[in-house]
Amino acid sequence: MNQDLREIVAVTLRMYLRNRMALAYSYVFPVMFLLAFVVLYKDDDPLLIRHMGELLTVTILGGACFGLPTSMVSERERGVWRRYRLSPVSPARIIAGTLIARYLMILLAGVLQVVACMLIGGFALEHPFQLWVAFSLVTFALLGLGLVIATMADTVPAVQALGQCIFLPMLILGGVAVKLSVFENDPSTTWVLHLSAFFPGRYAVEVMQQCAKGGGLGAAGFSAFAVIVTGLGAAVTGAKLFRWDAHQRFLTNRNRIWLLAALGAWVLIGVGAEWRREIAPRPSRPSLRPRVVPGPTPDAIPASGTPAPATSTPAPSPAPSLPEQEQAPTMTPVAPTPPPAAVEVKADPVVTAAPPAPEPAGAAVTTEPPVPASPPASSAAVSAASTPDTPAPATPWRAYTNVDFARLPFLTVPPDNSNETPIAPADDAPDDNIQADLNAVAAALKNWAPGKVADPVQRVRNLMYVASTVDQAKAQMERHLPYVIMNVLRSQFEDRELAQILCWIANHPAEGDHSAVFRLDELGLLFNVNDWDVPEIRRRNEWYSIKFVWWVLGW
Amino acid sequence: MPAKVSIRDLRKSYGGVEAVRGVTFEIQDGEIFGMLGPNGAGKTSTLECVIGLREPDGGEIDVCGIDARKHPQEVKQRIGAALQTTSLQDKITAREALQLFGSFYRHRVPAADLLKRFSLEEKADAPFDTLSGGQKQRLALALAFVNNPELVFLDEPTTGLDPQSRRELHGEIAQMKREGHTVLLTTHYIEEAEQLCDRIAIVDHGRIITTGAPKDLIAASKLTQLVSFETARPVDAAVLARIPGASEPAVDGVHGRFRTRDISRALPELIKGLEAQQVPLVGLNVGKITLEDVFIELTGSKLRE
Repeated sequence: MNQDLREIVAVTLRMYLRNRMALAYSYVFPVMFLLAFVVLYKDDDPLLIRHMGELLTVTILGGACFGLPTSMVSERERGVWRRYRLSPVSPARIIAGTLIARYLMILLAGVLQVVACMLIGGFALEHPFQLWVAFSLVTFALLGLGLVIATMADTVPAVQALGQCIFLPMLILGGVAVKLSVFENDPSTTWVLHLSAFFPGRYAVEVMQQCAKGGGLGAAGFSAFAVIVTGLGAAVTGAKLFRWDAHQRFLTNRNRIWLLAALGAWVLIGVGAEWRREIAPRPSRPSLRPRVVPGPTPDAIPASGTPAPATSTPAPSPAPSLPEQEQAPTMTPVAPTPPPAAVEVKADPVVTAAPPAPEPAGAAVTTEPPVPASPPASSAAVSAASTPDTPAPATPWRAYTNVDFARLPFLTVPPDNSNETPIAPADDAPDDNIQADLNAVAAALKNWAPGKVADPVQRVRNLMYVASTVDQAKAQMERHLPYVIMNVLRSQFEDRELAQILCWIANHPAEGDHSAVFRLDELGLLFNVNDWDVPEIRRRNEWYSIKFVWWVLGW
Repeated sequence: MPAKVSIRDLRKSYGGVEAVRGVTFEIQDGEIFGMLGPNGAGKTSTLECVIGLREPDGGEIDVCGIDARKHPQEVKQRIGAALQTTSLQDKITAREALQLFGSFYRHRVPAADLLKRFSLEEKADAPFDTLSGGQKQRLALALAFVNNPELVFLDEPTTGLDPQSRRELHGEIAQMKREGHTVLLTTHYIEEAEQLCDRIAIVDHGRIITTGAPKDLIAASKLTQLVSFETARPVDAAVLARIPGASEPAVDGVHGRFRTRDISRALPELIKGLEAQQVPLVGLNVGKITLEDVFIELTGSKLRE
């Protein structure tokens, strides 16, 4: 950093630290919000973990939309910048120095906020480095917005007026202070979701929330993109419209065009969100609560039903995901011996062929008559496996216990109301057309060969592929289809066994055959699935599997 | 030697108002050049165009041999300026301000040296908003010197200051001249211009009316001086009629007065006439032509109207 820039940053920081009002506004105001959130969401466990994005966005908004333009316009109004103009320093240096100093101030406020939240809530950040990146991106975007306000406003009262015009709608309708999910279920308020898509605030909340507790930047790709686009639009506009003194005219035709460019970025992200169907809110933590689903009532299987490996130790539930080696440290080596046919067979007689099951416990396709859904035949295997003198299970997934389930990364999967792996709320019935389509799929699944392969892991994987592929294709039924798949799975497996298989799939998303994703046309689902879609479908299969584990275990 | 500043046909309008109408002048190296005129005459607009605070509508500006309109940043490296009022952040100290502004230049004078020179050492670490008007203006001058400029621009530097602060600033400006700095000063104080400037330009309605050294301007004036006198006994008015070039003669008992352009010829004639009438002269007052008289003569209005 050049000496002049260093001096500008240093002096700006010193001025800031000597201004009690600015300090109070930057550090006390966010704490008040934090306390309000503690009161509002006192039932959350851990406390505040789901509101990090909102709290941090409020902190940044205060510093960027009010603090920055207020100090800039105040100095310009008093002629401080006019004195700068007499020197050879360039506007770019002044802007850069001011923004860097302001960024450091906001960063400090953000760090204090995060530390306070972690102490109050007793939780750890999922992706601290990514959160810093996201925080910086959001700060950059909102400082750009503050810069535009500073160029537009001639006086400090005008800053307050303009700031409020942006701040309040973003706070209330833009998903910053009021969760967008509030507007989700009432048809008369869903317009708010569409409106909020045009405010950068919701993307700021989302990208930071995902980094604080969620899937990280990768899970909020569009939001990160939206933040960058709005930031770039505002920063370029703010720099172009820079005014040394209040007497310089603002509303020239050229300036109007630049202003449109800044607003254009907002419109662009709003339209982009509509086009990508990113309108539904995406809370960081999935609503992984037990659901009432039609079909066989799952019987709770005690954890002792499966012999726990000697070295496994109880893990807190839910726990952050661990490296794969740690997730199943005592997993039994792959056993080539197929389990007894009677244990695994639940296929319809129509099944005559299936892809070879590459799973470790792969079994031959059978043509035995179907067994009614209840009681599941595989329970015998569970019973056998739980016998103390039973040798190590032939199928490694059977060794999974509650400890292994608890180690699944539940907090990192996209929430149920997001665009990825959505699951409709239990009380959200599909409309008639979708219901008819679901019925057709359910009927076709009875005779779908990939759903009848002998290898239980591959069979479950194939059935999960149906939900994942439909999700990838963004078909209308995507939110409701998981219920159909769950019914089919529960009709074939006991919950405990199903959880073990799903846990295996979640831990081994790249394993197994995926040819089933190209056979959805047999279910009447006519999607153009390509090879390059497979990795994404596998990823969704992993997420759905994690969600289904939570679901079947009734956690 | 080329002029330090050369302005040709400078023009600047604000909306429909022509503030500067074809101003042309030159400033030589080491000279203190004053622009004298009433408020709104166009002095500040001219100066702000030269130092890059305003974009002129037309004309040429060469400063230190550089085209200031094409290379304003390069010109700013070589000049220093103090405006009518200098605003800084309320909580910045004089030392911090000097360090900050010094960092903007290739060549800089240590802050400590400037604090000493401008008698700001005691207030070096005091916030700007606690400084008096004179101290603020001294800091403004110090800021104008952070780059050891070849050329200094001072825009009405003593406006609003108390007499003591004004005298101190006059001392600083005189010091600049002794150090060989070239200075462009705008002012509406005639005494200031007369006392400090080598040459002045009288500016009115956006134009330069005349340019020259103050004493030359007075000498070149066509104004008449007022001579008033008092005698021991009433005097005959005919004595004034015999004075060559006398105008507006008036006698009222023992008091008389007249105007003349040639005081050196008029006074002997007056004394000779009084002696001829044997009337003793007991008092004599000769009015001096001031720069203000010249200004009024040239512009038709007073400076502080």
